[in-house]
Amino acid sequence: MKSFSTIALSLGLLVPVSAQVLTPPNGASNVTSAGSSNGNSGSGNTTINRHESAAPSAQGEEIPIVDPTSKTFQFQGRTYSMTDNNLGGQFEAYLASQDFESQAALEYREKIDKIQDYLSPLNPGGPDLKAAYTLLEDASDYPGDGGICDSLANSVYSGRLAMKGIGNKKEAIARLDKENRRLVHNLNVLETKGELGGSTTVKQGKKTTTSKAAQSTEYKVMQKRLLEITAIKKKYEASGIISLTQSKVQYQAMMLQLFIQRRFEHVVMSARFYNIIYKDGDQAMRIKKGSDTEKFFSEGLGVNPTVAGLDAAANEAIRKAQTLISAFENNIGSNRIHAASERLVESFLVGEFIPCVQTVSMGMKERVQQYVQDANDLVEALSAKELGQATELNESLKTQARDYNPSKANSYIAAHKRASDGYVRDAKFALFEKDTARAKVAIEKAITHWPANPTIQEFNDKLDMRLTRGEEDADTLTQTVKEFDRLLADKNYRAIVEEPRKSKFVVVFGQTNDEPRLKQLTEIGDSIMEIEKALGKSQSLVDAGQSYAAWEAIFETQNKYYDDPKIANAKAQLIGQVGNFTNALTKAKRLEEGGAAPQTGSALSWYLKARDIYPQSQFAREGIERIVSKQFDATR
Amino acid sequence: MARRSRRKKSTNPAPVILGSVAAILVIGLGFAFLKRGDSPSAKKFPLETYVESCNSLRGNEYSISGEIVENAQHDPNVGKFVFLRVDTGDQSISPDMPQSIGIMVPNSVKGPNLETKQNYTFVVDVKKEGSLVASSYTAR
Repeated sequence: MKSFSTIALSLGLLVPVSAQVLTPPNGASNVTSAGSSNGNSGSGNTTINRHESAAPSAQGEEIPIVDPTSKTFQFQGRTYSMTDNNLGGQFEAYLASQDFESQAALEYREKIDKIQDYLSPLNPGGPDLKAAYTLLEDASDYPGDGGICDSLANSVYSGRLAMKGIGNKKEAIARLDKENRRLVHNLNVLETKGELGGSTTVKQGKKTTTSKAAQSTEYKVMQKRLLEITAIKKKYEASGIISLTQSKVQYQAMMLQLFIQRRFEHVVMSARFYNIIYKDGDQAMRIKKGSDTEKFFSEGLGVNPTVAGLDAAANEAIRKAQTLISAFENNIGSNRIHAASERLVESFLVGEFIPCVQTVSMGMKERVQQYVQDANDLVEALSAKELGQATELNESLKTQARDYNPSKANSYIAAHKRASDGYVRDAKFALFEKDTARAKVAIEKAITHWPANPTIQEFNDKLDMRLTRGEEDADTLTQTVKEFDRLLADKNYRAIVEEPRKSKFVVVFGQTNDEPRLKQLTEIGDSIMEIEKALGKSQSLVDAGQSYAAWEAIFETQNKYYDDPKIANAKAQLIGQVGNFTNALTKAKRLEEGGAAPQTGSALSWYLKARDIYPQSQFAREGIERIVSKQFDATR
Repeated sequence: MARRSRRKKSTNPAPVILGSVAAILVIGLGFAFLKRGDSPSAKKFPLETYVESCNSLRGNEYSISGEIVENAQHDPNVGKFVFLRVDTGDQSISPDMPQSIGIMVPNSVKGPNLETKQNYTFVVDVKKEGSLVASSYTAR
C-alpha cells in the first residue's frame, strides 16, 4: 500500500502548488527555497514550511498552505489532501465549466477593470469614488461574483458614513467653541457691569470677608452652559476617534477576508477604496500581534502589516497566477500535458477567480480534463488493483502527454501481475497435489494482488468444470448403482454383464469402493461365463448330432442357474429331441430320492432305461453306480 | 442201421418197453424236479408294477427270467450284482418302459456261472427299497 501511495502521489496530477505560501508558525520557521517542480513556471518560488500551531489563532490558518512533502493543502484551520475529492471536484468543475466565457462574465470582468481604473490615482481628474461605487453595485449582480462586490460596497458605504459622522462631530465641536467664547464674553460683561445681583459676607474667626456672588439667574445659566459645553466637547472628541478606529478595523477585516478567499482583484479594489475613504494616511493593519495573518505580512512578504502590504500581496498573487497560466499555455503548446496540468492546478489554487485563470480556453481545458480524468481513473484503478484497466490508462496517459512518466505505474502493475500469476500457479500446483487448503490460500493471495487476473478466472472456470463433472459423476454413480440393483432384483444377470454396462459397473463400483456390489458383479460374471461355457459345449454336441450329450452338458448348469433364460431356452429346445431320455432320468431321480420311501429298485430300472437310450450317459452311469453300491452294501 | 434193426428183432421186447417206461418216468420226474427248481410257489414278476412302484412288491417272491446284460459288480465275499433284461414272453411292453432290472445274487446262492448274454431264471425276493435279492437261479 505504501508503494501504491508513492506511485499515486507521484502521478502528480494534483501536485503541490509551489506558490509563495506560508504554513502556520509554531515558533521556529524553516525557510527553504525551491524552484518549480519541473521548472516550467519559472517563478523561483519560495516555500516556507512550518509545523501546525498547537493553538492557532482565529485567523492563524486562513492562508492557503501547501506542503509539498505531504501533498496537503491547509485552509481555514483544516487540512485537505491535494487529491481530496472536494478540491479535485472543484478543479474538475472548473475544467468542465464554460460559464467563464459567458457574456455576463465578460461584462463583469470589464466592470472590475473599470472600477480599478476609476480608483486609480492615475484616473483623469483623480480617483472617482462615486463612479467606482456605482459600478461596484452593478458588478455584484453577476452570479459568479458571489456577492463579494456587494459586501465591498457595503463596507465602503459604512466607512463613508463613519467618516461623515466624524465630520458632523467636528462641526458641532466648533459650534460649541463659538458658543463657549460668546458665553465667556457675556459673563465678562456682566461681571464688569456689577450685575451679578448681590454680595455675600462670610465671617472666618475675627476676619470678615465680603464677596460678590452671581446671584442673577442669567449669570447662573451661562455658567452652567459653559460646563456643559466642555463636557460635550470632550465626549464628541472621544467618540470621533473611536468611530474612526472601528471603521478602519471593520474595513480591514473585510479586506483580509477577501484576501483569504483569493479575491485578489477585490483586495486591490478595496485597498484603493480605503485610501480614498480614509485620507489620514494611516494604513496600519489592526491585526492581532503574533497571529498568522500578522506573520504572513511580516515574514512571508517581508513587510509590516499594512493596507499597502495587503494590496501588494494581492498583486503578487495576480502576477503569480498570470505567470503560471503563461507556463501552462507554453506546456500545452509543446504537448507537455503533465506539466501543463500541474501549472493549471497551481494557478487554480492561487487565483481561482483571477481573469487569466478563468479565461483559459475550453480547448486547452479539455485536454487537461481528459488527462486529469484518466490520471484520476488510473489512481482509482491502481487503488482497486484493476491492473488491466490501469495498464490501458497508463498507456493512454503516455500517449496524451509526452512528459508523463509511466515507469512507476508500470513497475507497480508488473509487480502485482507477476505476484498474482505466481500465486495462481501455486494454486494449480497445490490442486494438482490435491492440497486444497494450500490452493485456497494461494488463490486468495492471487486475488489480493490482482482481483481481475484473467488466469484466476480461468482457474475458477476449470475448477467449476471439475466440480460440475464431479456432480455429474456423482449423479452417474447414483444412477449406476440404482440400475445395478434394479437388474439384480429382476435377476436380469445377462443385462448386468452386457457391455458396456458391465464396464460401467466395474468403474463406478471401483471408484466408490463398493466391495459388496463388486463381489456380486464378479459372481454374476463367473456364472454367466459358466453358463456360456455349458451352452457352447452343448451347441457343439448338438452340431455333432449328440443331443443326449448336449442335454447332459447343460443340465447341471441349467439346474444351477435355473433362472437364466438363455440356458433354459436351450434346454427346452433339446428336450424335444431327448424327451424319452430325460423322462427316464427324471423318473429315476424321482424314485431314487423318493423322500421317506425311496424306491431304488424302480430307479435302477429307469437309469438302465436311460442308459439304453444313451449308453454314454453320465447321469445314468452315476445313478446306476450309486444304487448298485447302495444295494451291494445293504447285502453285506 | 439195417443190422441194428435185425438184431432188435431177435431180443425180448418187454425190457425195452419197461426201459422206455422207466425212461419216460425218469424224464417226467426230471421235468418235475426241474419244475421244483423254478420254485413253483414263486409268482411271475410284474415288471410294469416294479418299475413304477417297487415298494408295493416288497416282501414278495418272484421268478424272473431273462438275459444278463451286465455283471455290474462282483465281490467274492458278498456276491454279484447283475442287470437282467427281463423276458416278458408274449406280453407286449411299451417301448418307453424299462425292461432291465438289477438283481443281487449273494454268495450263498449256488448255481451256474452267471455270464452276460446268457439267459437265466432267478427266484428273487423283493427287499427294502424294492431291491431284488436272488434266492436261487438256474440257467435256461
